[in-house]
Amino acid sequence: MIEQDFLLYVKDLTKVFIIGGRFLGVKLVAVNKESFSLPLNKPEIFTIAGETGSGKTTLARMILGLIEPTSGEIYYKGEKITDLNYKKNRLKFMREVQPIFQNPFEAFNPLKRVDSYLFNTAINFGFAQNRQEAMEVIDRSLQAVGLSLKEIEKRYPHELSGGQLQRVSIARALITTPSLLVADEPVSMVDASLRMSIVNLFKDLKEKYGVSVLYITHDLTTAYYISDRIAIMYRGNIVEMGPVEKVMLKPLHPYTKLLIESVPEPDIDKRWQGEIKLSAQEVKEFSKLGCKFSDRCEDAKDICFKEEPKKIFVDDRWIMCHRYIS
Amino acid sequence: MYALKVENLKAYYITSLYGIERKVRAVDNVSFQVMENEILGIAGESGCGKSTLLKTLIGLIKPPLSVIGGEIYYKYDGKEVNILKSSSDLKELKWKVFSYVPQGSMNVLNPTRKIIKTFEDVIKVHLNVTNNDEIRNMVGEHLKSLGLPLEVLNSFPHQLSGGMRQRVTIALATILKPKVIITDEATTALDVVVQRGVIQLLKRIQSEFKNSIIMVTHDMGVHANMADRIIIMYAGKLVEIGSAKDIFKNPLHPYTRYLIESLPKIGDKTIRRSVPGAPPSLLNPPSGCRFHPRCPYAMNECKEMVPDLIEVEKGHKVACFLHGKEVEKV
Repeated sequence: MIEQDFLLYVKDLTKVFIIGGRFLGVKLVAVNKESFSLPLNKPEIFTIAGETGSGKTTLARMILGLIEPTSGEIYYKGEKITDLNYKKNRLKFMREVQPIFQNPFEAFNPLKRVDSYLFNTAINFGFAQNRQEAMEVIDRSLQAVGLSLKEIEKRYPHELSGGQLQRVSIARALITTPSLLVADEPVSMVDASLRMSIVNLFKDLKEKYGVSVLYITHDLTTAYYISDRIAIMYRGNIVEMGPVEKVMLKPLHPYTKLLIESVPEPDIDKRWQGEIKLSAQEVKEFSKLGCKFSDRCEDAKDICFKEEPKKIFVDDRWIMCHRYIS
Repeated sequence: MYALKVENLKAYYITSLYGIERKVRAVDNVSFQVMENEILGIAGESGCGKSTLLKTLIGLIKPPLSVIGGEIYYKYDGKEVNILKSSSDLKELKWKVFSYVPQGSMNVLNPTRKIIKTFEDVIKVHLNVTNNDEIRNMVGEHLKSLGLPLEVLNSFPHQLSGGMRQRVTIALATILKPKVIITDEATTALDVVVQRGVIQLLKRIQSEFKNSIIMVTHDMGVHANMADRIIIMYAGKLVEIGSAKDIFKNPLHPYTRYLIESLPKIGDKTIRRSVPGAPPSLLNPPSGCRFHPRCPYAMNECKEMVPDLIEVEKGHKVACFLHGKEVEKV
């Protein structure tokens, strides 16, 4: 079976949300038949980038099993995760795939001590039998993120900075020795001056501990900095996917080009030239026929408005654009 | 010619609980000027007092925030007004002389009313116009000059995309053509492409009406793209001020250097390090220079004395003992 060769194998995954009633409601295809995979033996940081409403968070939530896909399959180490209903199997999956959420201030209950989360994780997942054992396990995973149990013991969330809290939530995820971390915008709420410490941490985890990371972000500069491969999403479709050097330095899809040009560079000699067009109403774009980007694309042809482009493999990457189909 | 002048401003959050007074020194002895026809960027990490500074600039001073000392002058029609002295003028100045675009401002529109109704409300309160057709023409012209589609006027907020809502609120804030526009993290919650659209709009407003914009954001990329001059704040103090070129090409303060060197760039995978340590608490800030516990160049005098903001080159000021020995007078 092909699925067994991959750590994570996502096949034709679709999620449709219906807004406002079954008959009158608007169908919103958040993720549209997407497939990708992460290799089993080589740890990798795989980035999913795109703007708000591109479906990247929906994709992550489906992989974590928080919402059910409308159709399509997700395989983790050859096992179909939609079938993991039994508690025992589920626990094993949860041990190996751990989430990191966007806002560390919301992820922790302000009335609970931060270390209680760490102790609960260690004991509930069976990595320690009692508090004494747990302390050892916890201290080890806190060391990995550059903290120690002494620093955070008996502290409440408001006593720690955003960067520290986010590192604690990564340490919590590491307790179960996962092989995949699903990080949904882990740095967007962290201060710019501390952002690089979190990003560097992911790099370390990959190199030292062999953890693969599914890094979901709209921040393209950090995406380039840490990732090996990148997938650019637009309105539920992965429009371009490939090695980060190829996709970000020589983008082919017009949306990728626009995205990369729009990153504000901290260089006063490189100010933006020219004006761009923005979509006024996003909801319409989801139900659009043809290529979803055609309204904003500069050289859209007739076919772009009528037919959805197929995915083709050009120059080391998958791309979804009529321009490259000959 | 300045449009706004701030002198030795001190704004503290003062709370007292069981007779114990606690002071959070969010803005501590800050002085700067905003010139006419310029974009001034204010950068710094969260909790450094950026938003508190803006609150005092627009006269939004409510307990526990109180202004301990200092002056804020606005200049308009040849008059100088100190908003901290005469609060009666404040109502008249709002929206006409200065306007404010708050953080997350795309959520301030009333979800049950069409956009045009919100515009009508603002105009009816501030100008003596009651005719709705007249207002519609006025708003239409304003939107046209900003390059926004007229259809938005008849839409409800939920029908618009986040970026369009943000631009509508900016249009709302500028309809009375204020001299100074104050934006607080106006583009932080947006995606890169939408952010570019919003910045494009702000730049367009600035070049059209020749007013001043104060732009607060922690994104140095946005500052590099927009600002004429940049202020770097750290723990309630101004640590460096200079033209965008000075700040990016020749940063003097060790904190500014960290801020700029830690930024990743597309096409460059060399290791970047963030500022070591954690931001200080403003309740009990470090003695002397507030950056000294995190500074690799800290000397003995940094722990004891507070460096004064001194002019090193023309228009480029820094508060650091590496560049001058003056001590701040309190």
